[in-house]
Amino acid sequence: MRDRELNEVLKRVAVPERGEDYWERFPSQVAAEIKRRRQHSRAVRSADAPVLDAADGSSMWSWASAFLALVRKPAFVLTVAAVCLALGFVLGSWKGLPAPGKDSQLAEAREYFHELEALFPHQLQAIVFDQQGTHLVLAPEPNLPASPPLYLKVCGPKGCQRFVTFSGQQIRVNGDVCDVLAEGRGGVLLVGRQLLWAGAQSSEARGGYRIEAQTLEAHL
Amino acid sequence: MVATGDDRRRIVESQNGDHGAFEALIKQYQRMIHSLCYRMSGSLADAEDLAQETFIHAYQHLDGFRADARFSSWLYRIAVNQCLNWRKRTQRLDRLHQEWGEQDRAPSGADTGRAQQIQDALLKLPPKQRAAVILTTYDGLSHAEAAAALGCSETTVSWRLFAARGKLKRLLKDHVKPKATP
Repeated sequence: MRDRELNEVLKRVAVPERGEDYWERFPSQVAAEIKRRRQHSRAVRSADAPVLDAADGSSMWSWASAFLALVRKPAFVLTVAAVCLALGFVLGSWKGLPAPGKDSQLAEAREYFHELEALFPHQLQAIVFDQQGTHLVLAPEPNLPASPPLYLKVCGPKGCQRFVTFSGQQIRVNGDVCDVLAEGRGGVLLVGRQLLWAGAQSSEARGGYRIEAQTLEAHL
Repeated sequence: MVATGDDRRRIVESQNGDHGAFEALIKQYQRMIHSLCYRMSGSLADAEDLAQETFIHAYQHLDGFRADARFSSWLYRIAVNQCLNWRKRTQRLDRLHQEWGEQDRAPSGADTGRAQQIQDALLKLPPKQRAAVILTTYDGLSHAEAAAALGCSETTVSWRLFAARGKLKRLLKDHVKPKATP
């Protein structure tokens, strides 16, 4: 079946007709629902609001009174102190966190992998992220064995490329076709005509390449 | 593409609390949104709920609408998200079977059966693939417009369409009318 024929088949399904009275009624039905929800949220807010004795009706005075009433409560003071301590701890340890760029790249790779693996089960050979965008390498038939996905980042003189691939697949690193092999303990081997690299962590390879390799799932 | 002058005026009036202006916007786009929701859910009752939620969400977030965008694209995006987040699957299936039995539709029995099979095939697609097919095939959006409505890249839309078409072709292979021989 061609795409054009599929479109013709799909377009044979018409959306069931509704009467004109439905289309006349629907906008006011939505408007009524908006109004109802707004009134409901107002009612909830007013039920939750603290009861204050601001007799003059000034909203600023009401808020000031509410704040003073809260400050007088020991539980409130203790809660504010605990929040400040927690905030100080978080800000203090912030610099120790890994760079957000790396995390977002891994998250992106993970997201692409899960979606594409679902779209093309047993057919996905590699997902390549480079300066030109995201590329997909698929096997002609969906018969690839299941294996844990690997995440590789290769930075060389011409920039960085990132890959999600599998042991036994081939990737093209700046024109050089490399075999990707993984061993049971998480180590990854890259074998090409000009590139030979083995490791599980980020390290330098011959030719000025910097390579990182790890299993993708370990970082999920 | 930007919001038309009429849309822009009605949006500003709606933002200022004019319910009539928002009702006019609903009138203009209600059929488009209902169709999308029906094709996504396969159920008239759920399409009505989803369309209503779409317009309510739009009203509550009108301040977030950028005037340099098309109002229809913005609504599409809200509707697609409503459909994707929709969790009443079991209820939907129950109602769907009931509705297919009850709906009084004009086409003949054979046509009805075929239409049902096509709608069922659409419902067998994962929701994001279904949304890509509906937006591009039924609503005529370009890949770029569909990507904007779905909140993903054009490449992702192309992948989803590729996968969806493959599945639909398998599911609907008996639906191609044989060409008449001279």
